[in-house]
Amino acid sequence: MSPRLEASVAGIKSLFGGSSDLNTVRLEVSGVKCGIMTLEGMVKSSDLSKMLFEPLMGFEKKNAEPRDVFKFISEQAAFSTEEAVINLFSEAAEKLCSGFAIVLVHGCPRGLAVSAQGFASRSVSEPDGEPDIKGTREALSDNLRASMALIRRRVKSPKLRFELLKAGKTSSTEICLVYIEGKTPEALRKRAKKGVEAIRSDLVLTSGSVIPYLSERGGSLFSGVSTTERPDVVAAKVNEGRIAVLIDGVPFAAVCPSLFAESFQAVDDYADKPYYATYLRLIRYFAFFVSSLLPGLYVACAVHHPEVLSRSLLLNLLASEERTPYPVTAEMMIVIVMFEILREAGIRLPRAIGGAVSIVGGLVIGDAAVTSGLISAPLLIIIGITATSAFAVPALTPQMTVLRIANVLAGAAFGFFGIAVIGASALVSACVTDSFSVPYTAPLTPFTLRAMSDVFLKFSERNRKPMTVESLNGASKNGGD
Amino acid sequence: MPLRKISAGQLMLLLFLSRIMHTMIFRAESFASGTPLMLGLLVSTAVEALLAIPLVIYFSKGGADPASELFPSRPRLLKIFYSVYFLVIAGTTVALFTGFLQSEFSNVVSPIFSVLLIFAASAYCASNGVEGLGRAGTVVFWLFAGLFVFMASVNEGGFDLLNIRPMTENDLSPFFEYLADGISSAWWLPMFCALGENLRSGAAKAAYGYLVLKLAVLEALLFLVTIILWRYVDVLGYPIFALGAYAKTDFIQRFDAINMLVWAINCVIVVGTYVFICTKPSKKPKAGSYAAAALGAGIAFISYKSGLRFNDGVFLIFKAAGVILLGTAVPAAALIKLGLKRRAEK
Repeated sequence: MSPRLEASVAGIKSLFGGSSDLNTVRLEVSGVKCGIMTLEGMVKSSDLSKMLFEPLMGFEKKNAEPRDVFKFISEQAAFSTEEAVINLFSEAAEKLCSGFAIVLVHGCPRGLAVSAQGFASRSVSEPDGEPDIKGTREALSDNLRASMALIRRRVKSPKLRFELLKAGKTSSTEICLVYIEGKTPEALRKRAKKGVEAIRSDLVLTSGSVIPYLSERGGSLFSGVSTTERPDVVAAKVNEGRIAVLIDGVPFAAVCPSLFAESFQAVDDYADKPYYATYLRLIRYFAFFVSSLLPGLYVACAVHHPEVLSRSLLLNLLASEERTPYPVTAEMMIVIVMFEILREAGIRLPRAIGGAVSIVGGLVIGDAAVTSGLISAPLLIIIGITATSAFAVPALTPQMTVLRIANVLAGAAFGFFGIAVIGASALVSACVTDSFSVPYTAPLTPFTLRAMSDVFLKFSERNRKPMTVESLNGASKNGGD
Repeated sequence: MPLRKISAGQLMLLLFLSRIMHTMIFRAESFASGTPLMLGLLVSTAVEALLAIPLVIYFSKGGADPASELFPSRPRLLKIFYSVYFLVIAGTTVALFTGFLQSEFSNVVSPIFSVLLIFAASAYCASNGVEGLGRAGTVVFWLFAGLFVFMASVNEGGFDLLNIRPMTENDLSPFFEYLADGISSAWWLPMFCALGENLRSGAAKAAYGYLVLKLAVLEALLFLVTIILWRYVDVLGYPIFALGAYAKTDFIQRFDAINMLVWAINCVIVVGTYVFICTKPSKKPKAGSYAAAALGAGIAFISYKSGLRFNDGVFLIFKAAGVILLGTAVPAAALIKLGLKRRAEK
């Protein structure tokens, strides 16, 4: 930084290339020229006025030297929660981008960054992607600080740690590691930090930019890192020794290590009676297998193994299939692709129209297709059951979709043998997925009895033992079978 | 990269799945009687327990890898022998499984596709390391157990205990045949040796646990085959598979295809383990697993076309030689060398 105000202002302006959202206010304090630089929309004007301008206007000293003014500003005038002395233009630019105001004093070769963030952000909304009945109605926010506060409100412990890092060569996005000191193994924290520091992307705009750096093996069908938009889930996970990674501008937290069995857990399980929660959980496991396998098994039975089905069922299916013009495999693929298109349209369109899409797609097209004899009714029922089952386990939607299509094609080409080959490969793919040395398939395989109170069965809170990272890690290292 | 390890229980189940695979694709051409077979299995298991002593002691005493123990400068030399042995075992297993598919599900998949698909999937499984195979093996074991219990509970077959007959002089010849077949099929010994370095601890638990499990399950299956099927096995072909024909529900008319589905999953896991062993001498395990799978597929085609069987003369000798040399002699020599080394250190 230069001691000359104009040179410092010009230096910072040149870094931004004359960007029109860079504002500079010039004023005189007791005869000393000062400048305040901010980025449009990143600071709250009213706060800045109260925190900085009003005290500055009240400063009067005869023959004031620049260092007197700087000292006054840094020690008495600025009522900000966060301040930093700036010596380099690059530091000034970084602070401006984070919503700070930079105060420059003519004659001082440094500046002062004053926290005055006030950018517009969405208020805390409901977790639309992970709704439940008895859990919180608050979701993580795009604003990193707001998300941190939401978690802090649920874990009122000084041991809860937020570790801020930066990632993204161009975006310089703030990333926050959330963990509880003493519960999260130190090695896990260090590896997560190393993973975030290794991010090479220019921009970090979604959790997808971070997750590959937290996963140990790429290319697997399953992922040892999950995402959630619920602060209560983040709180529960960090309490089990996991690490949550918050990204500024992303209303989701990436949680690692994450397990296959956790895809079947819901917040309501912990609010309901254990027997009912257990029942619902078993239903979700069943739904996963139905969604992945049912269309493939149907095609395999129809094409290669009709002997599996009972006579009456087989005759029913044959009668329905005889009326349709396409082979059962083509029919199944058409309906699956149509379903995926409708699902995509429902997600991408505004909510009001999205509902109409499902009515048009599900009722009108479906009914017309069966009535006109293009699609058989049993096949449509199979897809209906499959689609509904898929909605019961949203965390595994990508995996179920891929497995469903692969099983249909394998079942059509090679019957149950093809499905078996796909199944064995998927099983091994799940079994080799690790996240920070915790097997994705734990505590099922490797088996850990002490962590089983929250897998298929949901024990009452008095008897339930949390699936801590240490217990799961121990299973993989010390003899879990 | 650190060596990935599995637990004693996982190794035990992998060995068991490998053995049960062999039993499933065993085609009975002349089923003399259940009694000599059951007795042959009992005696062969006892012999296997004796043959396993060197390797159990070797691994229990902290030995890591017999090949490195015997040839510290060139362990790959011995590992190549294990690779070749398991390449042949993998190829023959797939060939026999293909034979089973062609016999029971002739229109479902052609031999060429069944061989290629199994080896492609096995190569993928092997390239991901033994940890995944060990964990998947546990799941497949429970899948088998679940299917077995379910099929037993909906079984409509009758049985006759009179089919169990005492041994006679005429049964001595089949008894010795089964005994020889049982011992020569004990390639779990070289398999254990090859996978020993991947075992975390509990060599004795894995080895003797496997023997107890194998004995209990196979004796139970043989007992069921004898009392339910008896000499019809000659006509039915695959006895274990034929047992499933008696299971029936209102919804599922026949369990044959469901049986085959679980067997095929098992085949991929077991052949994946063999392929993994074959990659041991390779410096690039991922590429090595695909190369081994390609070679294994070639052997499978030759075996399938030539109609080679596990109990054919030459193959019987090949299997038995592998069991004795790679499964017993090598660990025994490694144990002696380890003992001498420890004594010299003292």
